[in-house]
Amino acid sequence: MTGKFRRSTLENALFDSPFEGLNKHSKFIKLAIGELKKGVEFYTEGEFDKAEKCFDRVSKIEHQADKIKIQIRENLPRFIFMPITREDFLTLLKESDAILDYAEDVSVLLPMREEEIPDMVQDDFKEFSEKVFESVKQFEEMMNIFTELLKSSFSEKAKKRAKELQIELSDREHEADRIERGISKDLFNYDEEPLTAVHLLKVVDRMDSIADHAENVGDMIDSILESK
Amino acid sequence: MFGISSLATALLLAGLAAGLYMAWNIGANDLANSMSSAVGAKAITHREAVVIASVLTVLGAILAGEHVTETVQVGIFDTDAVEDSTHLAVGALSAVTAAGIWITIATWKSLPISTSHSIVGGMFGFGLLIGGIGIISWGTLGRIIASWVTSPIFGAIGAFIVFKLIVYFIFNSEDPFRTSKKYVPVFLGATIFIVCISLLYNTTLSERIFGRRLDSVQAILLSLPIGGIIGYLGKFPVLRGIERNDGIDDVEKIFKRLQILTSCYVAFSFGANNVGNAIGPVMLIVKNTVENTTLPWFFTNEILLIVGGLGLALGIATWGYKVIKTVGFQITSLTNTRGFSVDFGAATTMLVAAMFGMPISTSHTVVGSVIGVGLARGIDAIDLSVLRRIVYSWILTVPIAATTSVAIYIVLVQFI
Repeated sequence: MTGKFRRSTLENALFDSPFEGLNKHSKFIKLAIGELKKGVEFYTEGEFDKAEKCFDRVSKIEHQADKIKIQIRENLPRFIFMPITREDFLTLLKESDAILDYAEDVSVLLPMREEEIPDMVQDDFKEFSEKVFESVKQFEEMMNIFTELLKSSFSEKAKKRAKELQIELSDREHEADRIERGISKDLFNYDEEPLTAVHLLKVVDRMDSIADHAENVGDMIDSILESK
Repeated sequence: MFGISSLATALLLAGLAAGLYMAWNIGANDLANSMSSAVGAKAITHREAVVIASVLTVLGAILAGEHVTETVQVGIFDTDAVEDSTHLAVGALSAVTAAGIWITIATWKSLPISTSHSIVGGMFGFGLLIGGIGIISWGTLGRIIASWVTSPIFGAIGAFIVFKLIVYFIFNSEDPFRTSKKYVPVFLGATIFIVCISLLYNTTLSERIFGRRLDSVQAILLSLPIGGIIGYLGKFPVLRGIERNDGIDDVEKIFKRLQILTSCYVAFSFGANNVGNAIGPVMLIVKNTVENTTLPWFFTNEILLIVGGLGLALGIATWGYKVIKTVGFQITSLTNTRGFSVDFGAATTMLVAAMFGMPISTSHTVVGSVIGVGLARGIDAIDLSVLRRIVYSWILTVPIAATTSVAIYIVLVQFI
């Protein structure tokens, strides 16, 4: 007798939750962003060796998270019925994954040129980094609320909290955008070290993308809730 | 033996063996399927499921199993129109054997077939052979077949409503933990109320207690206070030792306790709806083999219902536990509020169907209930291809069980 012989009809009807995979993926994002944050802080303090170690860890975590992403996609059949549509689920996964991709980009790009951040943008860069990392923190909370939404089958209380978080997340991203524009303007006019300027322009552009995709996840969850 | 002919003795013993085989099959597969939501939601262990299922299934079979037994026995075709009673007994034996064999094969092939559909198919095949189209009770058969389609739908509607009520009244409240504690007597009382109605409405039990069979209004009026009192008193053991911790998980802890009750409800309803599938044909064999006056005591209807119930229990204890053990480790997306809703929707559908003598598919009803909770956005992932497999089983089961029943009858009748 095979194991299949003993499968119950109920067991055949239910899949393991793909949202658990999504949660696991989010935990890797949290880990990677934590390492990235430490790395950026070391970098801005000029401790490039320590920064590099953190950046290496970001790459490794991203690679592990990628495996989870592939596993989720492969185990998501076409004839699946979920509380949200299959397409929304996959978009949510894609947007979350983009946060990691850009985190890895930053972790690769930043140590390519080990030089102190120019004084003229140093404060702004620190503030900008904070806003970006805050937006990821909001994303993490949003994902926790999303789990709560699923557990409570989209209760009004959880919906209200998700809406509030989405607004906060959007504000963070907006602030990050605003500071990024200022930094970019300064760097475009930084004639003394054009290579440093180009390097940092690329870095802030990718860091801003982290905040953008964190916001996209918030928007996505908000639009899912709007359609419920 | 028993002061009857050796042919009659052989038929009685073969009938009993086939009935037990059928009951064992049903217990091993369908009963295990029905208990798997509680085990899957980790409300009970597989060992507890075996104990609950064994005891409550026997009770359901004895106390509320008579209507389905009656339908399987005489509802599918006009047994009075068959003049030769020995042929009728052989036919019933063929039907129950064919159904048993088909269930074994289908389980081996992992097809989600229904044991109820199999026995109805078996009886239908034999009836058609012995009396032609005219003998078939098309009205009853039509209602049975309609119930196969409607029972998963009713299971889905029931589970959808229960889960939506949980979301609306409990999850949406300011303090879900406190609110769920408040509603425990309501859920308990509602379950007891429905079980009471099934015990009292038009049953031999009510005849024994009150000297007559109670009608629906009388059954409801009696069940209401019983449900109310037990619901109120039952909240104390249910809530004992449960402490507030954090968030929605506290609600699940309460429903984990309530699911023990719904597991009993499922097992009871299961016994009520399924014992007839195994014992109905055996009763037909007994009736057409010996005169009532010479009937050995252990072939009376009451004893046969007990034997059938024990057969179901034996099935889950010897084989079915393997099904539920596997499930307990694998279903991760079924929390207790969901499991409770699935069980409540499915058990109520099974029990109401049993009250009206409709032999429905329990596993299909459970799947219907799962989809009902899914439609209420309560389950993370449902494989919809299970629906396709269920439709295949509808199409396959009746013709296969009917043909096998006819084939067995043709062989057996040579020995008369």
